[in-house]
Amino acid sequence: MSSELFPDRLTKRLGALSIVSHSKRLGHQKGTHRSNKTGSSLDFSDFREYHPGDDLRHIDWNVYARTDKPFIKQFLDEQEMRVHILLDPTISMGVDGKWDYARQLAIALGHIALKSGDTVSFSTWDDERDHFYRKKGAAHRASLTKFISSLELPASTKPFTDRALSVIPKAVTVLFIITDGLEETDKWASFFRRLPGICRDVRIITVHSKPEELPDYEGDIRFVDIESGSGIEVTMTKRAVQAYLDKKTTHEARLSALAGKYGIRLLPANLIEGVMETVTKKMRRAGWLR
Amino acid sequence: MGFNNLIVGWTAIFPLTVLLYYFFRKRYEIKTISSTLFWEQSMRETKISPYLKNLQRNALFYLQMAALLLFVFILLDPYLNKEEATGGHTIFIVDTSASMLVGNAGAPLFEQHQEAMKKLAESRIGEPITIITTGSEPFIAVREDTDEATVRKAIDALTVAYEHEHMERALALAQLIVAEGSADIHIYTDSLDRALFSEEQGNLAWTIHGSKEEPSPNISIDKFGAVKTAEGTEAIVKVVNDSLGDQTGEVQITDAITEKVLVNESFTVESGKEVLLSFKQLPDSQAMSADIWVDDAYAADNTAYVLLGNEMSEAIVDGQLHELVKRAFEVTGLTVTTGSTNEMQLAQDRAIIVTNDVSFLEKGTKPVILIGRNDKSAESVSGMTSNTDDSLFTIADITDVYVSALYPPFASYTTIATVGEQPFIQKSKRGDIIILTDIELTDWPLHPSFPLFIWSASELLRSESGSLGTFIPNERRAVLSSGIENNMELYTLTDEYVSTFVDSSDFIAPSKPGIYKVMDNGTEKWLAVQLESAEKEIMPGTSYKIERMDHGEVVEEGKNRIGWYFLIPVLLLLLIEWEVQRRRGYTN
Repeated sequence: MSSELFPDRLTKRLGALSIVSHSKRLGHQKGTHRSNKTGSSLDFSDFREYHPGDDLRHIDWNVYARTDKPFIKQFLDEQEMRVHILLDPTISMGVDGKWDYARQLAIALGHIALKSGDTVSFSTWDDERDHFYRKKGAAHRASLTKFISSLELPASTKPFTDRALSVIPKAVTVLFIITDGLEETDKWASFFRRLPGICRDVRIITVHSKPEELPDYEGDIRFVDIESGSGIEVTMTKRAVQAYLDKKTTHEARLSALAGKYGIRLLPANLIEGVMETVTKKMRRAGWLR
Repeated sequence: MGFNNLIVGWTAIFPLTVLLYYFFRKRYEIKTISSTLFWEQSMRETKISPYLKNLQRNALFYLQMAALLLFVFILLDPYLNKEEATGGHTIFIVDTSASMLVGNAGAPLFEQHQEAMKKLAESRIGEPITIITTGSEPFIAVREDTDEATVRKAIDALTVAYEHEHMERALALAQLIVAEGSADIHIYTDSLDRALFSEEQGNLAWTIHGSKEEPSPNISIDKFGAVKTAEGTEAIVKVVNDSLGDQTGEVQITDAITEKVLVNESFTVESGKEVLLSFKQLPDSQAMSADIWVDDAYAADNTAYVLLGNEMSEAIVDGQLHELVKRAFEVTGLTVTTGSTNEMQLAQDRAIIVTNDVSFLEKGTKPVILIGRNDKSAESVSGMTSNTDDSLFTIADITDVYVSALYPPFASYTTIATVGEQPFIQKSKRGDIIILTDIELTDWPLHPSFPLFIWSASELLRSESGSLGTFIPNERRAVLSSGIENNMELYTLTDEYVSTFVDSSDFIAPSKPGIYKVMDNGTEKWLAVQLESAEKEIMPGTSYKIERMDHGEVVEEGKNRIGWYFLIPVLLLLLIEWEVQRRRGYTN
């Protein structure tokens, strides 16, 4: 099961990648990410004049001997990042293979973060309970894969934006949200408005399947919404498809504009590209990974 | 069970359409997708018009609605007021009075009506049509004829009869014709009072076609009279102006027989006023006509006729005679007064004198009627009463009259009736009629022949002058012919044959106003036909409708319309369908 969802060979291909973040809020524990603050790492950062109250142990006596002035020697601080991955568990995610793709994305991102020694938390939910996972360190990659692979098909009937805020842990450095974005822009707008208060570095990956991108139905179709169950009758014509695509483009553009407004980064990911392509190329190009 | 309106079976097309709709409605393939968000939005956009979309979505509903509404409509048994006959039977009542000749501009009203009738008749081909013309004796020109050609011919043949319309008689006749069932009655007239229709006539629909025109200017000769005096003939013409403005015209009096113009004068008459024109010292003439030449819309009343002669319409009965005599004269239609000898003497020239005063036989120029004698006493007689074939007895047979006593006869007079051998009734050379008994001495007044004899006697006296009197158009009035077997032949002044009457009691005056000649047993008598004064006024009237077509209760028996009872299930069905539509949202 798990090997099928995320084979080890894929993990190897992620090897060199790490998450880029300029967020100042980092974890308290030591990690591999340089912080803007001075700290206790081995890497030298700067000298500065001594002011009363500074730790005497940090005075560079060699410099004092040369200049007769006390100088403090500062080092860079290296701290861990807290990466949270939020997976949209609404029913609509279960269609057209989006669920597998989204989970693969989540695993890939998790592996990258764990390998860098960061704390990775993962949360999603179904109607009965929340699923939460948090581990730190590369050793836990297999357990993350197992945890995510074991998730059932999504069954949450409630809108994603209503619930999402409550499951995000505090003090998150980077927040990845994997969703299909198929909700009214109004809902997203209120959701986005509150996100910066929780995390400064929010990255949303919208998952798009092929039938969504380019409907290739024919004849008279009655589309049923898997979430609400409401139906709509459409006679498939070029014009109808074009109107649909126009609406979709508009929606995405508005979503993107909304995200930009709140400093949220948004990346559309297409199912047909494949997970590796998305992670290794798209995210790098977007400056999310390095 | 049966169907009254099989023709409307074509509406079955509606249920068939609904059925077809069910067969050919779209079958949608169901696809479950993540979200219909964009589809909904795009479909919302493709809606060209919300109304069209609504129509599309509810097409079935609207179709069924339309079908059912039409069904309901048919059940209501609709009819159109004008184009469709209501009772199947159409009756035209055509006013043929002289006032129908009014024509402000163009054709007279009568001709306009003829066209209208033809049009209406054309739209009702195959339905029975009855045409009634008005008059004191309404005439049925066509009775329940369904042949278009016959009806058209009859309409074309209609002419103005000049006679007063007596509309109520025509209406009564029409109601008699449609004693049962219903009919659509169209009245073609100039004006008709709505009050005539106050009675409840449940099964009849009335349409009154009045004159649509504005009040036409009309100048009429209201009265025209002439009298012979010692200085010649005096004539008076009374001209009435019914129009809105003052009118100037010319009046001309002509000898109607010789057509010689006697006098010619112009006149002016103010609006709504009348003017009296008198002419004196005119030459002697037997008949005169007065014409006015003015600019008006109604020509028929611009001419009037008068016959000169002793046109006696009054009788003076001697106060000494029995009351029954006076009664008998009253019955004949004369104005009867009781008078003294002096009064009778004064009025002898213009009235019929009935007396027992023998001296009157010598006085005056006009004959008298003498009943009894005041100079002799009666002697009793016995025997059978018999009469000669004098014209006095044409209609009054006196053979069964009992007479108890008779006065002595006048020797030189002609005896025309006897009791036994004794003369009973005599005639003088002058024309006096002498009855040689008193009313008290005979049972004659109890016989129907008594008033008839009195009538004959007065007619005889009146007709001495060679004039039959003045008639209104188409007037039926018995006239006294001089012989029994002779036909009376009627000619116009220009000797054109008009008609023949075998029985003088059947005499009907011609319809067109004018002077006519009657040939009766070789003698020539004159007769004038004059418009009634009511016909000299133009009454513009409106067109209107009175409908009391009652379908609910008294419709044809044996054909109780059950369609009505289906209305409620139809409405129920409609409601159920609507509810289903509303709940399911779509039909799939």
